[in-house]
Amino acid sequence: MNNNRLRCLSRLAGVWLVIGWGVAGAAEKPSTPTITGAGEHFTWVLLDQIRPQLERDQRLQLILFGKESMLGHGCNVGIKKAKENRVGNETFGFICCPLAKEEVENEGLTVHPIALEPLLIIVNKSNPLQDIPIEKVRAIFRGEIRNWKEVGGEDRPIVIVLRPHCPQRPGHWKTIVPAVEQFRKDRIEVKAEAEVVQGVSDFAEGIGNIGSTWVFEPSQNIKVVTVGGVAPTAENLRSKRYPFYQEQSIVTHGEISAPLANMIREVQSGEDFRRVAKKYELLPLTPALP
Amino acid sequence: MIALRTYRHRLVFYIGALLLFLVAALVLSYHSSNTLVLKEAENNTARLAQQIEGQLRIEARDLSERAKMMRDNTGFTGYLYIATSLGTDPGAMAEIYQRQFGWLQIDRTVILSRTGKALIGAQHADLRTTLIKRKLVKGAEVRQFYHDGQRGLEMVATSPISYRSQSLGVIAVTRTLDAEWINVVRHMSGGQLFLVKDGRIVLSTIADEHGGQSFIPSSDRVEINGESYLVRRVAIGDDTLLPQLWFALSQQELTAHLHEQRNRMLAVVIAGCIGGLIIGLMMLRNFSAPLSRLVNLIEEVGAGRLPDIHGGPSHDEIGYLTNRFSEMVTNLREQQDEVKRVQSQLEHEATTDSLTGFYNRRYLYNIFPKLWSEALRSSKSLTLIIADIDYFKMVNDRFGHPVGDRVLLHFAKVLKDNCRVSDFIYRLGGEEFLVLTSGDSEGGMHVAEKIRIALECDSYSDGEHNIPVTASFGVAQADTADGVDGLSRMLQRADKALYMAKTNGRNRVVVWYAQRVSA
Repeated sequence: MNNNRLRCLSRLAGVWLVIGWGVAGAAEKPSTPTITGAGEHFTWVLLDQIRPQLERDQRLQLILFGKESMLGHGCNVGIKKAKENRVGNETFGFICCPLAKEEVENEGLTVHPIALEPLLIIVNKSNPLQDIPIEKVRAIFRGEIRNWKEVGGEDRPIVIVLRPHCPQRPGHWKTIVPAVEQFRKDRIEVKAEAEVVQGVSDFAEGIGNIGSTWVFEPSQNIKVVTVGGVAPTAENLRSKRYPFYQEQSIVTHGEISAPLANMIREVQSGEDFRRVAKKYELLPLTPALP
Repeated sequence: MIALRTYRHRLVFYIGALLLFLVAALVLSYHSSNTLVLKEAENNTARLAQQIEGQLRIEARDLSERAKMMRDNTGFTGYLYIATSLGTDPGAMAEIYQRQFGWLQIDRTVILSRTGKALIGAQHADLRTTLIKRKLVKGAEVRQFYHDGQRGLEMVATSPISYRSQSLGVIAVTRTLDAEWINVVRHMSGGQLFLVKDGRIVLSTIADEHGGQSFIPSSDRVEINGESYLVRRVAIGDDTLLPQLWFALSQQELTAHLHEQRNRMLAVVIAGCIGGLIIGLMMLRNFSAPLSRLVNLIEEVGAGRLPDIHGGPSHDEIGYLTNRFSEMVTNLREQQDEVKRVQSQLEHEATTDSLTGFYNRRYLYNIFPKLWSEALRSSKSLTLIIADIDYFKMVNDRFGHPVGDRVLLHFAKVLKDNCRVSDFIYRLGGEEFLVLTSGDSEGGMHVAEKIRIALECDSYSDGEHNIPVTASFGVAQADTADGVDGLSRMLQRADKALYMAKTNGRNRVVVWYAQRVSA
């Protein structure tokens, strides 16, 4: 056997080896489930930050919608997305306020609580106040106090910027004033959280509330005030000293697949979520995994 | 009526007519186009002014839409509501205005509360005053009007503004009809625009130095710095106190285009004329001139002359005709020359003696009147000498006619040698000869005697024969009474003298005098 024939045979064997390995590899590789989630902005921030770890550890592909709260994403979108859940099309939603018992039962939903999120009281950066007592915060939002000088500030009218979302669901801004009707009437009412921040930034006399996972931009003239001397932290939520908060949850519909169940469990009690929760002063509602 | 008999005349006439037609067409088209252009320019001025009015209406509508856009923005009206109801810092209004509407093409924005307080645009006091004067602060409709304010003429659109059915005041947005605007409109329309206030130019699309100049149109025309414009007013409202907007087309510019067109036409006409002239000249040179030459030649030939024609190498029809005609004329000339030659020979033969070469009797009769006339003019006499060889018949009989002829030639030679150059020698027939000499009979007698002696002394000799030859001579002088036709009488007298010489013994000279003869 001369050298040429030997070389030719070795090349042929190499080609077959590569083809066989490729086919075998393709046959053995497990399919990666794709899970799609959508909902309000605050939970999206959390999920998006731990998405790489979830995709890696749970071996799934996670698609999330909720970055832009001004584009109509919110709790209702989360519930709608959860109800699209089918075999082969796993979906879930995320919400920032607990659902009413009737809504859960009627829609066949399952709520998976994640964490409590402090509601920050924000004022314009030009406002000299650093703290507002809790009852005065409520009085301001109710319209009982209409000038900053009544709470020790400058002689300026108070401008309330409010996004009264999910008015039929308990929790969230209702920890400040329990019903929309009780809020001051002459207010700036907006439809997105970004507009709340913008409104308070625009008005030197402004005041509003926002979840603690909101990422502020340096150009916005916003600052967070303490309430009755209590800062909006997870620890103060746990001790119930800080009174304003909202509950972040994942919501599913019907039977859910194992990967989705595993993913939710990991979000509720995984180490990665704990780290992010700490960053945003969230109070997890499920004990950590041992 | 001009008679155009020749092609040359026709060609010149046609070319002249063509040039005249072209020039007339040029003049006519220039005058007609001048009128047409000016009339069309007037129509264009009106149409373009209407287009600008349409443009203004579109811009006013757009401006109103912008006012409505502000009116319908709930975020913005919410801010306004809070600002008006609570009296907050205006900075928030400015922030949201800039964020929401800062990109809009608006020159000025003023928002007034129902009390007339400026929520936005407090610096625009003139516009605020106008809005209050027009009672638009509490108005309920979208309005458009023109305003002559701090920035000049402005288009203003206003809209009432409300929040949750609560009236807040009015929004006013403006678009200034400034230099930039009129230059944009000028670019679209192609003419000039003048903003005129109180008969003076406030703003224009032509050079800045016209600002403040008088602008008083008459019959839709106006003169500015010696330049005439067709003008038409652009309607921008009924307020007579407002500046007027005028659209204008420069007459000079229009006529400049016309002149440019006319010059082009002129160039075409001149080129046409030059082309026509060149073609005409070429036709004259290549067609008419050869034809005329041919006609002249034919006329010359017709007149009996046969000119020398030098045919050229031309292969065209006229050249071919000329060459053929030339050959024909050459043939004719050759034939004519031959006829002349033959005629001359015949004439010579008819007037000379073939043996001796002397003139014969016929020629004597032909020439005598002329010689007689000349003699009379010069007051000279003519004398005839008739010579006859003695016993010549015997020579012929004894030696034969060839010898007789040679004897005659011998005698002729003696005659010739002893006569003067001016004398005429004739052979009258047989052995009889005549010498016509000027002078009287005495002179004639000497000439005859000289000849007689010479002949007597010079016998004929040809080596075979030696023949003494003598001759008798009769001399007679012409008499003025003989007249031009007196040759016969002279010959009779000479003949008588010759007869006497013969009868007196021959070899002698006898002269005939009137009434007597002397030997």
